[in-house]
Amino acid sequence: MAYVLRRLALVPPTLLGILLLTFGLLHLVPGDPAELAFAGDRQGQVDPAALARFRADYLLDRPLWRQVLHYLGPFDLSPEGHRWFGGSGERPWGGLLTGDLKREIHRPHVRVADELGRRLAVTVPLAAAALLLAYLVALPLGILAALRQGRVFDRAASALVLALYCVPVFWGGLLLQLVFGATGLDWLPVVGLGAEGAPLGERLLRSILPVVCLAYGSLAYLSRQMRAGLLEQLSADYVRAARARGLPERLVVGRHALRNALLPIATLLAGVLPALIGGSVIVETVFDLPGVGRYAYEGLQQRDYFIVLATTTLGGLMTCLGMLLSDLLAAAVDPRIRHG
Amino acid sequence: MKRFPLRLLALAGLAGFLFASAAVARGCAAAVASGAEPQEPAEERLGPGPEPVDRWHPRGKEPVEPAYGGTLRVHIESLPPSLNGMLLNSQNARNMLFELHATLVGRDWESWEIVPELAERFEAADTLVLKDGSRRHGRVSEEEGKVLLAEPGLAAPTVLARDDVERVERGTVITFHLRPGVRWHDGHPFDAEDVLFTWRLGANPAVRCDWTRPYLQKIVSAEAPDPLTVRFFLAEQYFYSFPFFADTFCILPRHLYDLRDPDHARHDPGASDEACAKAINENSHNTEWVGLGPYRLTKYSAAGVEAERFDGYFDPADAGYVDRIVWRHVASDEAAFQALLNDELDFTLRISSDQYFGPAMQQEAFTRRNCKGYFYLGFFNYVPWNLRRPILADLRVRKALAHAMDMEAYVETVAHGLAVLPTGPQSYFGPSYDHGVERLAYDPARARELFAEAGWLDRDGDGVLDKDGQPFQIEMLVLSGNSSAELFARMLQESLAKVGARLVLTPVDSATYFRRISERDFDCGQAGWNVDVTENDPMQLWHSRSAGPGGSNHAGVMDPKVDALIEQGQRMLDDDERHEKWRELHRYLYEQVQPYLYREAPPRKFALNLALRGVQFFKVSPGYALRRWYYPAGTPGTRPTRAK
Repeated sequence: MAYVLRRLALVPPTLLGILLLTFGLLHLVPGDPAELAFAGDRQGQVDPAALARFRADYLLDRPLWRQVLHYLGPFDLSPEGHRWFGGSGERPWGGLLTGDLKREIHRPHVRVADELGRRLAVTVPLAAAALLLAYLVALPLGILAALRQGRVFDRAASALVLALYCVPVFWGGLLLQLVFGATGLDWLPVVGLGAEGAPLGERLLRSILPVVCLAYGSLAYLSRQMRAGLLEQLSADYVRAARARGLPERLVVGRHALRNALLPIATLLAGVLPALIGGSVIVETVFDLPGVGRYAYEGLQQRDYFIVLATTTLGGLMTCLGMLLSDLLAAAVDPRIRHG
Repeated sequence: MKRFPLRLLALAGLAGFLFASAAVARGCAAAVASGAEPQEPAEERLGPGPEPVDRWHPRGKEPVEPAYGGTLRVHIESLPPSLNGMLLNSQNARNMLFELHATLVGRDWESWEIVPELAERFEAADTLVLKDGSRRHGRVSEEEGKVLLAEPGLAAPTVLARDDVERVERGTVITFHLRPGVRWHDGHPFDAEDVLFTWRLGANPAVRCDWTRPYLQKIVSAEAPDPLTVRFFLAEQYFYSFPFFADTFCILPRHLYDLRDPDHARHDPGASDEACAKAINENSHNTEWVGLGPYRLTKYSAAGVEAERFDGYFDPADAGYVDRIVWRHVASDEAAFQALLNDELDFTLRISSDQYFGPAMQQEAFTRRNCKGYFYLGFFNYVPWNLRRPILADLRVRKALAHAMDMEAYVETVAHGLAVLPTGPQSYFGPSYDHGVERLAYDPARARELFAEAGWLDRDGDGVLDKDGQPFQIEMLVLSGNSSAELFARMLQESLAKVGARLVLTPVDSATYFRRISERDFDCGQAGWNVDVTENDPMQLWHSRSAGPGGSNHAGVMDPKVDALIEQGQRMLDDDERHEKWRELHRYLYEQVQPYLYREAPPRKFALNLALRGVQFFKVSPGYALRRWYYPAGTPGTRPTRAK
């Protein structure tokens, strides 16, 4: 328990570090949301007073530490914020610590948390399906390759996963569209997830290509890890001993070697999960999916600090939790880790 | 035996490749069916006139019976963060508002004339400014040294001595008589108070209507004598007042935006200006739009905007054929094209020249469901020269730069010849454009001569012109990721190098680009203007008052003659006379100022579902009217009458 608490205590400072780093990087990038808001659609005709007002509304004219504290909370530091910070007191509390991810800068009536929720509803099911697919294919592939080391199957599987690993996602996605869409076999819908309220069957059909595209990269990685892990275990002394005792190969592999080989694969789950939840800008763009990855990208394009901070914080949180999960899994199987 | 796996792998790879190729080839290799080729257009007409229907449809001449019903799926590449046209000038939002909203007056798509819309009629009167400073309104005429003022409500005109009159401001009192019985999409009645409320936005500095504020502030006062009449008083006569009401003035529903309105859900008669502004800037109806147009918004999400036909539209004769319009947000143009091929989009304007002229739009997968075509709006690309920079201050230098670039070759190679080359800032197809202005031809020898006349010679033999020991070197800001801008920049760089001028390309993101342009920290850049086909107020681009930081006179034209021509034209209410003035300005700017290197004015290229008919394209923005498009009788899901 003490180990878990120790690990949990590391999450807040890690998140704070991520937040500060993101804040710093965002402000190092040239241009701010105000400039963008007043540039594109106003044909370069800018009223300096209006620009100043816009900046003041979002504290962009204030020192960085004040902006960070405002985002972090729990005090709202805006002109309508807490009286301690010179605000009107209309809205004293706010910020990340109160669960407030602010509102989008260019759509001020939209709460970032609400939109993030809508985007997660697209990303999470696809990510979960992709993860499942990756594990379902990668594990048997890796196991069989390890058991048939150096034979035709192993070489073919190695070549296949290497090829998959090397195919860039944008190209792979496009190829899938060309082959399975109207330009090729015309078997599958290639763009979007369908209208809201579309039948489940249609949504599942539309998810096939994005899920395959999301999965094939991690599939390749996982199967190589599985193969290497199992080979390592198969050459261990305890396996040799088991074989010497005359245990059938099925039991040697299934009960002894495979169990141990699966442990690192289980901990890899914790590393793969945040990447998938964070969404893939490329897959979401190629298949036109309004997910978290595209939301982060759109936020970056618009210099919407609150979108970028929210998606980065989410990514950071998922990474922290993933690492925590990974550590806990490792500790669960190896008491030496728990006891330092 | 050891070689076997490799052979097997090679065979498997070959089989996979053949499988994929065959699948793709099934769509690609089929030849374009005869008759599926679009009709080649006649030469583009200059000026207004009737536009053909189904011009690009391979069977466009075959008559079909319109039917009602169905869904029209239109591609948008970016989702506007707001549909409130007072707060945001977004082209996509304007295109949607064209169907979701209505304006006081509209522009006839073919004759380009201002026509009634929400106002069933409108009239303009004059303002008489007397020497004592007072203003009187009515129709002003002059007779035998006297000034006659016909004021509304008075039987006989008032006669004034000429000496008592300071000046007459023509057309400065504009009265709109609103249609009775018009309702917002939520059923609330529309009246003059909505119009007045919208105009008052300009007076509240906290409302983010900065792009419309300069126009709103030209109106000094307004009144609503009755719920169906609204009258605006302009400070001075201004030719662009009716186009402003047609194209820019986006009426907001007061009951949803004005906290002080008794019908507002959070009615607060004492609400501060700041609170009112916040209620407008952060109003959820900025995206969940409630308008007055033939289509009512039903959904706004990251996936796009959906609308259904509004049965209460005030003009049933023009209330649309299809039941639903979906503006589908597909950020990637490639994904949009795939969606089109897979029958998930009906119309996209995001077609590149390579797609348009290449195999992508000749493959059977495209032609079996779609046709392609193009239409011109007022868009043109240009390179602004910063005239404030000493190196670019000399007219001969700017002319030399124009002579150095072979624009015809550029259009031929990059745009496959599909673009016109303008020489002025008004629409190439409109009456304010002077077609007599001759474009400076590609002539490197003449460019070198002009450079030499301006003192720029290659004195040290390093291949770069120099003067006073300084090489001729200018910087061009290039928007990162804009492939057209990058390509043009590289071609210009090569062309200028041939005459000894060095062009340094600096890639920048859009925020930096606009900041540097706005702060005048640039030598040259690349941008585009969207201009109305009839005419545009040149004040914004060329008057010396717009040359300061934040103004749109990026080039920094500070020319008394230009200022005078603009000021004269702005006060001219006679169309022909004013268009002549703009043509004079066009000629002067090109021949005596040369503030821009005019690039091409490309058309909008599109792909369209063949199932749609009644399709027309206009030179008036947005260039098409979705409400006129229909599926022919017999199409599944359609019916002969509007009523379901």
